[in-house]
Amino acid sequence: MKAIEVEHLSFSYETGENEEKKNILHDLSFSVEQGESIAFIGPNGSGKSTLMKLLVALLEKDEGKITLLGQELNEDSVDDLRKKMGIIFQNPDNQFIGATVRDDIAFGLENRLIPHEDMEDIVREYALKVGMIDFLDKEPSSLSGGQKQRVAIAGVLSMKPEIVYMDEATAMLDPKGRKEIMELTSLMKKENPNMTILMVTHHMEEALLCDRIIVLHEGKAYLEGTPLYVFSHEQELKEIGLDLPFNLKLKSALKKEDFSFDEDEDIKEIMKNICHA
Amino acid sequence: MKELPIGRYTNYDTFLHRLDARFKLLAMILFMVIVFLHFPSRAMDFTFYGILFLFIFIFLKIAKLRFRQLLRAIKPMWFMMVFLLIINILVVHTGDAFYLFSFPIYYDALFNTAYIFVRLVLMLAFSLILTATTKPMDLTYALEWYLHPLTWIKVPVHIIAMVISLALRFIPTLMEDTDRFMKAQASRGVDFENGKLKEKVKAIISLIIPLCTSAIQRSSDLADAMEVRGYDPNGKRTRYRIMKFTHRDLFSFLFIALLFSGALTLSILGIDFYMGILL
Repeated sequence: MKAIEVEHLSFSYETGENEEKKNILHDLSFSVEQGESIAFIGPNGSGKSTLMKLLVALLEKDEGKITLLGQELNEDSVDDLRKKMGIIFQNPDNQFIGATVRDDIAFGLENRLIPHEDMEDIVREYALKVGMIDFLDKEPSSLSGGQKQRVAIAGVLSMKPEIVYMDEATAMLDPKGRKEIMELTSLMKKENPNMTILMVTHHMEEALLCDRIIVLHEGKAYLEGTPLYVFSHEQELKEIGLDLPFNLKLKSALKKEDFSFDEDEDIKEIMKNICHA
Repeated sequence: MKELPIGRYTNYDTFLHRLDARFKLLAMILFMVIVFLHFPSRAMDFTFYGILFLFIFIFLKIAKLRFRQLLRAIKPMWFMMVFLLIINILVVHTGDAFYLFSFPIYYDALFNTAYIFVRLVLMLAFSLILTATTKPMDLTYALEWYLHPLTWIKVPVHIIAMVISLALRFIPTLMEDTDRFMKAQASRGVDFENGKLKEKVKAIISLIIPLCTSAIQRSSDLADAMEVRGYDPNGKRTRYRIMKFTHRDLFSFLFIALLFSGALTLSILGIDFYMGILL
């Protein structure tokens, strides 16, 4: 079954001046298989975050059709569908709802009417999973950004979602926090092979970890395919102001200097071979 | 590093910290009522104030709070007290008087000031002990519990409680914001400390506007996060935290109830231990 099917999706904001409309998304179509992980990349203003908000029905689409898990997303199905998906937002502070780590993880459970007796176990289970078990009674002001995002992930995972969206979840973190979240995401994928992950990111290294990449530009799918396929179009990416991940950039630079190696060889291996030669 | 604000929650595990927040809130209200009870003689009044101070001492000791904190809370009141004393001396002309440099000073004036001072300090002390031993979130829950009957007349108590708890949650975040904006504006040449009133107001405005913008942005994000995680203000929710009234609470409650009813009886019947000999 397809987890997400988007057909001819359009969205525009009213700018306020002369009732002019600003097109954010224009006739966008794509589909995602269950268990697939997809990264959306694109320059600022390409509509990535808007797309996320449309998919969780925080914004209303102008035209098109969104089908999630075989059910069309509309007013009647939104409550039901939201139970099956979770989103991690960009700002770690603004999505921390509870007073402490345990209260925040429990917030979603309270909304889902999980009985009180079961909550403590669930909270502990997911706090352990994201490595926050020693911080259960800590307040958000004494946590780092990465820790807060881990709590947000625990909150989302505790509701056993089938689709997880990550809306630039690492954008406001330091490199260490970003690494932690990426490792956690990989772990999530491994533990729940059926979970569909959709992420929006500015960091090409993160996109590299996904099964497929969709490049958005001016509200349209500009490029689509496996990371290797997308990043082999260096010229096209450069035109819209995107860069290659460091590894690939290094490889393409090495190629220009007439070093030879396999395309999918590990960069560390390549460096070793070059240094030995 | 700034000193802890007065009355802020202290993370100890003491008898007072473990008491049920609902009971503590009730106990504080009862203590405050005792503070304002009227006894037949001043000697009795001050005896009870003495007893209450004794309780405060014991509570401070049990809760591992410092007496110094209380003194610091009282400090800003000195000026007001001196002012009050002067007003009282000028206005009150009843009862006996003594003369200071041929200026009449009535005992009633001194007592009036003493009453106000002692009552204020007592109230301050009790509320300080309450907030220092009870998590703000637990206080919110306690308040929600007491306000529960209002749901019968369709007051959305649980929404109000959620709003209060979110406000409490965001106080530290907004404090950090304030600090950051102050530094950012100071580095752009805004002077928050010197200058005339008009300049100071201007400086404060340069702080308030970004602070409001950020607060609105944050609340909009927060609303999104809550909605996506299934929060429905009018819907049913289960509870993660459930307050339990234990034996500890029961015994403390009986003790406070006894104390309160004793004080109330003495006050209503007008019993004077000192037979009117003293004051």
